[in-house]
Amino acid sequence: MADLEEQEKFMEKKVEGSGLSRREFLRNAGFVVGGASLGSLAFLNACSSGSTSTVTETKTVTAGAGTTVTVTAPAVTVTGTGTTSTAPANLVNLNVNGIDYWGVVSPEWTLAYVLREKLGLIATKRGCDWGDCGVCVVLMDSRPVMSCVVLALEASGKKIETLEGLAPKIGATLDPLQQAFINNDAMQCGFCTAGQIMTAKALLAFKPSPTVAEIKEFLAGTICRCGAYMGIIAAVKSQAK
Amino acid sequence: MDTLNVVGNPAIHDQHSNLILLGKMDYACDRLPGRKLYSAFKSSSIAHGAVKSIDPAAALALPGVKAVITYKDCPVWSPNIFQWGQEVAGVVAIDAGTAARAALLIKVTYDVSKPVIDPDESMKPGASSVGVIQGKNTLIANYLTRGGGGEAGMAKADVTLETVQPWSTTYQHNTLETHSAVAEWAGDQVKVWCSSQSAFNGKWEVAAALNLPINHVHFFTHGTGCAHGDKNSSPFAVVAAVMSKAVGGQAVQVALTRRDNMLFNTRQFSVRSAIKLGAKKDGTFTGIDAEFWGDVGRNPMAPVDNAHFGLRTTYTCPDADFKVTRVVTNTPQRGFWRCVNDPPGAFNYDIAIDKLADKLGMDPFALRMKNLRAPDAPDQDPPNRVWGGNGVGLCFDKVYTSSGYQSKWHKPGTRVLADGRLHGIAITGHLDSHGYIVGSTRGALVTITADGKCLVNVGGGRGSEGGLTSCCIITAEALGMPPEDVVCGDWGNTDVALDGGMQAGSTFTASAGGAFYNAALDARAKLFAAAVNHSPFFSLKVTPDQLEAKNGFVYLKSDPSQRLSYKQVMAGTPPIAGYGTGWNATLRSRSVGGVAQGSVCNANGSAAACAELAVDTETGQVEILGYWNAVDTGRTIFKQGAIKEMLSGCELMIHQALFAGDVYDIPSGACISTQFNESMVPTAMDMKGERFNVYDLESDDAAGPYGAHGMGEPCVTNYSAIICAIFNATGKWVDPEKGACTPNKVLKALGKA
Repeated sequence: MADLEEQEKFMEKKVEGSGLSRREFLRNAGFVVGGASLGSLAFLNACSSGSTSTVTETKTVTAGAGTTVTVTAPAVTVTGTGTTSTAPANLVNLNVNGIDYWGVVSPEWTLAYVLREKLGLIATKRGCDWGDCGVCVVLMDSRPVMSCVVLALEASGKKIETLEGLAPKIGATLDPLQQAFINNDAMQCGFCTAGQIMTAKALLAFKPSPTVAEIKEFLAGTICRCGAYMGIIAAVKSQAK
Repeated sequence: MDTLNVVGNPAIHDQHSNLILLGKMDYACDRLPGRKLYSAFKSSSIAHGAVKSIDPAAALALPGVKAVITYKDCPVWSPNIFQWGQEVAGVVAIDAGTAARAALLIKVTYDVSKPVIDPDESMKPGASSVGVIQGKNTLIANYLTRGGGGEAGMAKADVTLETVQPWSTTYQHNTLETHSAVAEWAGDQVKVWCSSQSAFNGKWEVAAALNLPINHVHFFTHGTGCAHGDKNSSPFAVVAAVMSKAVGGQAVQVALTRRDNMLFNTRQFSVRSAIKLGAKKDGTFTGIDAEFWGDVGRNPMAPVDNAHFGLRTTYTCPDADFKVTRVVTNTPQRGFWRCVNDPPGAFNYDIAIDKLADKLGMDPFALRMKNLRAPDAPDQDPPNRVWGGNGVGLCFDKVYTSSGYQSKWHKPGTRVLADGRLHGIAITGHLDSHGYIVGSTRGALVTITADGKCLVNVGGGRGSEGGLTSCCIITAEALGMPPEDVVCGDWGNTDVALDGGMQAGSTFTASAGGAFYNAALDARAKLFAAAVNHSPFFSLKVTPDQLEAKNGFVYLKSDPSQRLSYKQVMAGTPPIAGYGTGWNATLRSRSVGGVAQGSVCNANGSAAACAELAVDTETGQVEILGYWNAVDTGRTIFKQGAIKEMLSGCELMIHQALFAGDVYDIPSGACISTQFNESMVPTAMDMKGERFNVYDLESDDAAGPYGAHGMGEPCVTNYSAIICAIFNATGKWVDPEKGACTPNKVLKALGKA
């Protein structure tokens, strides 16, 4: 998404189920996307009631055709609207699927919560909220993490990859691992699928030729309650070099 | 069997694979991101009693809290507490963390009564009341006497066996997606997105609870993250609607925490039984006297009434008594969950059959075959219907031959493997109480569009079972269209679909699938009526009854070269809608040689499983060496889906036998297995898939669409094969002690713990 024009198109896409363009959605959620939109940021939603907070940040973004520019976000003084928690405001920068997002978060917000509720990236699911089931696995700097036990603050400045980043458009060519899941009927209800794929993605990057035993061990942290394990294991094995 | 193009085609995959793999399948909590409030619950800290007072002041004072509701505001909640962890109040706040913090600040006082957690305690005369049923703790669910009754049968026996089986495991599913709903009001109408399997059930629940006209409730259920019957009911849709109303109609999300979900979701009940079997010396059954008790937790209407079904229907026996009793306790509700009724019942009666075989000195499989009913024999009990299909014999044969049972079976405790472990093998199976057709309440809508393709709108949610894809396959076959031209238009949307019932593997294919068969025939008739107005049919003065359809073409039966594609027929024709309702009574009559065998026939699935295992007598560890799972599908509609179900069935049966079970603190009634790690959920590492062997067998049952049974339930029912195989290995019966056959219990059976 280096091209600004493409990024603009991306911003005008409707966020599933919200009825809003992505730009409107993020603005409502207190987040902005890096690049052209940075100057218009307004961190209104995540600030405590009646209090004020001033935030500034400098960010280097790629502004198309390989041109790199450094942008300093204007100092923004935010007065709380009374719609949010008492937690102090904290600015984070999340690079998700190659796109920079900026926003103010409550210290208790998890990465999973921000991905789903603030960035609208719903492929990452919430299963247990304490690192037991693995359906929320995403890659953080190429390592699989359970995003329900990673605070958004911890993820700031890190590169996050979610299922949406593999083949972001309906009709686009699927990632070979995604296609392998179809070929092997490696899902039933689909709720754990994003976690399974992202975990497997990390495994195959770390070890391109895993044995079945290694696949089982690596995937053991992501539960499938429908019992589609056999298809999942076969799908991952089919992608071993 | 006739030749079918689409039904059973192994190249067809789940219609929704792409949506899921792109992360676009929307589950309830995926809706309305960025413009909804969040909730959390205050649940009871007692297992039995009543709420005396609730003080929400501190919670309401917390910044970010929008509302607190209590049982007084919510018609699906009660001040009477029947289990630990029952919801008594809820908080709506600007984020989930704030809601959770506020819920902790709600002060509740209780009038405390003594909880009854142990079902044996609950059954005792003079036991404390559980409080669910006024004045008593038990409720007879089923009673049936055949011939002269069980005692008369015992009098004719050469050998009798009397066994009291202790409580089997209480198995809960732990749906990965917790029970969830998002509700939003617009004026006097409410929209609800819910994790339910059953959109129309949910719509009615919300309308009834809130006293709304039915058309003021718009209910949506797309993705359902694990269901298997647990998500039939939708009380949290009502809760979300109440919460949304309390904040002026703004969208509110209800998403149970893992702990709350484990306390709410339905479990498969545990069963205790007292079974007497009488037989001649050659093994012929003369009498059965079987009484089952099902621990239903706080749900007195839990479906336990068919715990005896397989014993009643699978084997011939002239004199018998069957009785099933519900036992209520102050524990979480039992209910629909992957084959209710049969598995725990079979777990007990299969043990009794193997014990009788041991007493007779027979191979237990041979004893079963000695008494197996002929597939065409009518039911032994009124109304003595014939069976639309009874493939239990096929299933038994398949697992027997494919496992090599004949050469592997040995007398109990007599075969030691080279590594010193004991070898065991057993086969169990039965005609199942599931897979049948449910009345005519299911509706279906199919639309042939201007481009000659077909949209299938299913009024059920999308669970795990592939039911939506099955409906598309049935429609494509009946319309004579290639499968890629028939797509699921929308589903679980009460605004655009007819009531498809609950999307569940036990009944959906046979029931909603039957409705789609009828809807497709309706659309096809309308298509033929439109086709005769097009050349060449118009110039040939063809009438609709002279036409046939196949592979996307409408053609003249007498001259297939005279044909039009669907697209050509639909050119200039308005979209054609076809409507259908569930399978009707006439079609449920099985035809043998063209002669109807009764106005209505039974149509049940059946299954058999063989478990081969090794028992380490030092550690008590049980290793599955092979698992063979055969299921009578009647006719396999969605081949890939059926294989998936059977493979997952193997995993779930092993889980039920070796892993599962709730754990309670008896004095307080607190359930202390409320997380995944505490309830020992199997992971990929536990899979021995290379040792699983699954078979979908077709009994050519004419009762369902293309002869199909539902098969999602029967494929998980025979975990009794594992405990019977442990007996074959060790010569000792493991007492499950209300849980699974864990290593410690195996060692206990061996006298080593």
